[in-house]
Amino acid sequence: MALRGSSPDPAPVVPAAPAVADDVAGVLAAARAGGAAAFEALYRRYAPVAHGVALARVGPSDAEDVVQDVFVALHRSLTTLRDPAALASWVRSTAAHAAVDRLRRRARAGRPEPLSDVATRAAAVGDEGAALRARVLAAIQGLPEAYREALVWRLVEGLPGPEIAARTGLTPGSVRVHLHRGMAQLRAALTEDRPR
Amino acid sequence: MTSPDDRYLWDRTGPADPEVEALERLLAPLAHRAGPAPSHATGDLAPGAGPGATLAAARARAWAPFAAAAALLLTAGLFARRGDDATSSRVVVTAGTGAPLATGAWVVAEGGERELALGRLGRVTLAAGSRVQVRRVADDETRLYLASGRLEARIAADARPRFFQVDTDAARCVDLGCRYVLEAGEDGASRVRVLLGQVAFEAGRREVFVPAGAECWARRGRGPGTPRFSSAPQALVEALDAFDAATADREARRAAARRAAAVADGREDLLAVWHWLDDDDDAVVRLALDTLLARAGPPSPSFVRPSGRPTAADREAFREHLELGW
Repeated sequence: MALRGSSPDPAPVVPAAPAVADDVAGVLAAARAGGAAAFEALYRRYAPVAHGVALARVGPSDAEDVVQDVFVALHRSLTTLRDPAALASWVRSTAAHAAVDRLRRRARAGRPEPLSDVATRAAAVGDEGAALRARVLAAIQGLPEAYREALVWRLVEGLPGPEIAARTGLTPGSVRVHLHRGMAQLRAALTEDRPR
Repeated sequence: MTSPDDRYLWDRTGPADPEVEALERLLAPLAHRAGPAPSHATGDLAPGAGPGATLAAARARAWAPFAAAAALLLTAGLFARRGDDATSSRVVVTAGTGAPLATGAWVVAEGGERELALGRLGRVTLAAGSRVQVRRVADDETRLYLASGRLEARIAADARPRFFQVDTDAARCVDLGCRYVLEAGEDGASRVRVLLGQVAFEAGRREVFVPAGAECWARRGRGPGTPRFSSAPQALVEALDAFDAATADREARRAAARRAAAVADGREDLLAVWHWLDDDDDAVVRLALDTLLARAGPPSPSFVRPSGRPTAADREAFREHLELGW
């Protein structure tokens, strides 16, 4: 895989772990009571999770919209979300459903898949970094679901494996396996995809 | 099984993996754009509904929690200062250099996009070639005129509904706490596409509302047409276009309404049908009632089909019944 010459963007910064990590129940309760800071803490902790789930399925612009959909839904569901342990799972499943809904809407409207559209346009204007980025993301999106989500959280969102496990509710062991196997499959996919 | 060599991939310890590093650098721009987080502030989203309250204001009240959350999320990255009462601050419209624009000033986006700031309450991005005039600047209402081109407006949740308005030759676009794209053509037609929240599209006594995911055309002299979701099937789009075009031909208009009603399927499609509940033509109103009751059921168990035209309360009941699907 040849990635030399890609965008010299700075290495991703790992978002600081918010206090919510130690007290999801308390923060959820505070958010339910109308606490702005508590909702903010939930947003900071789970927005990258939702975004990763979305970006594993849809293009970048839709992924941002999915995050907004998820947190609008979370805001409306605060009173019914009673189990703090289920929050991470709720965020992941809500994001997945929202992303699939967007795919269906696009299919119904006959609009082009945004990712391929981005790659085509980027290539047309000579933005090799953007075109390569779109190709790599497309390769990730072609992997099995568990692998692609783990890779997006790690490579795109910049979350280390232990942080992924903490925020998603998945076990560290399964996250590590998904990253390892997903990376192996991604290498293979990009090698096949490399222009000859 | 994993190998010791995956330590960098796992938690960035161990020897750096050049390929993983390269992928991190390449893909980092796609990461979630972390801005200030949204707050719970539902704010004073709607003024009191006195006798003069508009339908849009009443709708805004019903949508307030959603619009607040949506717009807060939307604008999370736009406003550095938070937590103060933005609506009490003096609004100034600025472009580029930060110099306030006076009422009557024109802004032409020559050579590329231009951005206008509405104090801390919002931002407007003008597409290249767009022409905008500042028509009113006040804390309670700021209004632009889009002569031609395209703008994208992003309005903060703590702005009052109806605070930001954009006139075109065909209609007035009234923000109710959202993000939208408004286009105005040289022929006087305009189109709004709502990305978050909702917009009221008004001309004279006609007022339609356009929720997130939907769009609406307006024509000079005719005002807003029938809003529909951007994902609406082609058959529905064609029927609604025919309905909107047949202003002088009542039979053609009714026929188009029947075609639209026949293909309207999911709740999103019923957005258009709901707007017919206050149509001037009683036959279209009856068709709307039949269609809504058949496709979505009554808005409540106690709902009684009105013998005459639906009241405002009936329309609101249907809207609340349907909007979960919007």
